[in-house]
Amino acid sequence: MTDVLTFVEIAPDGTVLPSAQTALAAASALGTPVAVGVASGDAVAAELGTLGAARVLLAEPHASLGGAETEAVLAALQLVQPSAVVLAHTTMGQDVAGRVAARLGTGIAVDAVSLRSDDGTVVATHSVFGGSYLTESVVEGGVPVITVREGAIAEAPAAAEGAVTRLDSAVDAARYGVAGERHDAVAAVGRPSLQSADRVVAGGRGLGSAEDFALVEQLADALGAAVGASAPPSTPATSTSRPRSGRPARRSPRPVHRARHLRRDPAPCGHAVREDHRRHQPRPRGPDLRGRRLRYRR
Amino acid sequence: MRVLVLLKQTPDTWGERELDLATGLVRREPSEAVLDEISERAAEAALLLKDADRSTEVVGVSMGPSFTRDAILKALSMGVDAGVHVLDDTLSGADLALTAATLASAIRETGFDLVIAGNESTDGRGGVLPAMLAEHLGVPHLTSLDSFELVDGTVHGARATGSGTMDVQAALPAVISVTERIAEPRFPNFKGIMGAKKKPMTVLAAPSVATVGRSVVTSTTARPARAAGTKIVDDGHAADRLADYLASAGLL
Repeated sequence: MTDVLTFVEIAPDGTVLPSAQTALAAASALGTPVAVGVASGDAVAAELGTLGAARVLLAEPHASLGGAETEAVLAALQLVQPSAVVLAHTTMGQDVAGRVAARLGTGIAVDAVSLRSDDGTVVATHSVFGGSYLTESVVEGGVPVITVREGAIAEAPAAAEGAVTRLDSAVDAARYGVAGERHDAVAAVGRPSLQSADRVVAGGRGLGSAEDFALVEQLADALGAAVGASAPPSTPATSTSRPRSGRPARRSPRPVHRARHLRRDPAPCGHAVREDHRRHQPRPRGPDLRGRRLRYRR
Repeated sequence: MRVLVLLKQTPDTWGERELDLATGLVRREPSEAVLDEISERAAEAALLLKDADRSTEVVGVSMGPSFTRDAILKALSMGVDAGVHVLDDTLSGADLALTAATLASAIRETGFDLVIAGNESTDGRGGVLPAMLAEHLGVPHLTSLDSFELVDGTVHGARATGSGTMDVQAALPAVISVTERIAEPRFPNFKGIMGAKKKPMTVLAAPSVATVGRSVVTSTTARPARAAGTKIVDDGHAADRLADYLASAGLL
């Protein structure tokens, strides 16, 4: 089995973020997951081991934004010769993936929903245009850098040893921004988050009112599921700040810009919503722009 | 100060977006190609800087086939001062590595104090390009900013994290990416639309950039049509049947 370098996100207080589970699960489909992350102590290694990391490479934190993480992955690449570098498709994962891929000049595959190894070639499957298409991609030449959609891979790998190696990596502070204070805005809802939930109970306009939406919440609590909503923007009664389930919301604990999400990714909501939208579209006015109808989008 | 805005032309999400099953490339016919909404917001963020300080020069940069010019013109009609269009047949089907290297070359050639990009496009949803550009340019990146301001040659921002926001800052020159919370893009007015065509538009050929590896799409399949769901009519046993259904789906 080849090693697969897996970037795991660790919060400053030493908790392993849920995205690490996705990354390690995805990596275990390709080979032996070797976790690389940033933490001041070795205490996280045991938890990463239970998540499937055979080895854990840890670097010291740095005040820069993504600097310690990027340099840790690059330093780890000197120690292990992995068949791929796997990261979760989170904001930090995206930054580190981009930095590492650009530094190495290698190919990068983003937002994969599953990974497999085809005679040693890493094949990433992507869900495109709101799930309308599935594409497969490979990286030719160089070590592939792959980000995996959070929560897309459920199978948990077997627990492993999680032996710690400290990395010796230096951060050139001039190349990175400075990370400051965090302002956490998560309301404790007592339910699993939409990104990581195994089960989701979703409701929408059919429920009629916000009061009836409680049925969805009760069922979700009974099943231990997350709550999703597919309410279109035209029915404020059910348009609370619940995230939609059609497309996993990036920041589910926060209010969602519903209209934007519907327009960005309308497929899961069906045609009714879009036609609804269209009816309210103002009639095009104004001059012709190079012979084409000028469309007002809002 | 020169602010560069990265513009991307994407298939309009109001129409059906299709991939060519043979090549894996986006089919241009079914849906109109428009300036991506997040690019409009990035342009708005740059124009707000210009509103605050009239000496700011805002330049839109895009890479794509000949009709990408339309997307740049849209940004020019919003108030962007000039456009840079990287146009080259060899870039057709470019992967992220080639795109980043090419754009970085165009950005370096244009010169910049601040590069503003959208956090991720509606079609690719990659979100890695801003960090890749920062790496190529050797400058800091601040990505996923809900808001930002410039103070004494430093960009301060609130970065959206999974659990809230984080205060971040970086000295200029820098690359930042903005979320949809940044600003509502302005409508082009009549004067802007008429004046857009007279604004300078530089067309650059692709520089020769070398990448070690590249990402290649090997197969594309369309999702099978969705099967009809199960409808349970209440004839007195609906609750039992609903429970059976949930049990058969492994939910109970």
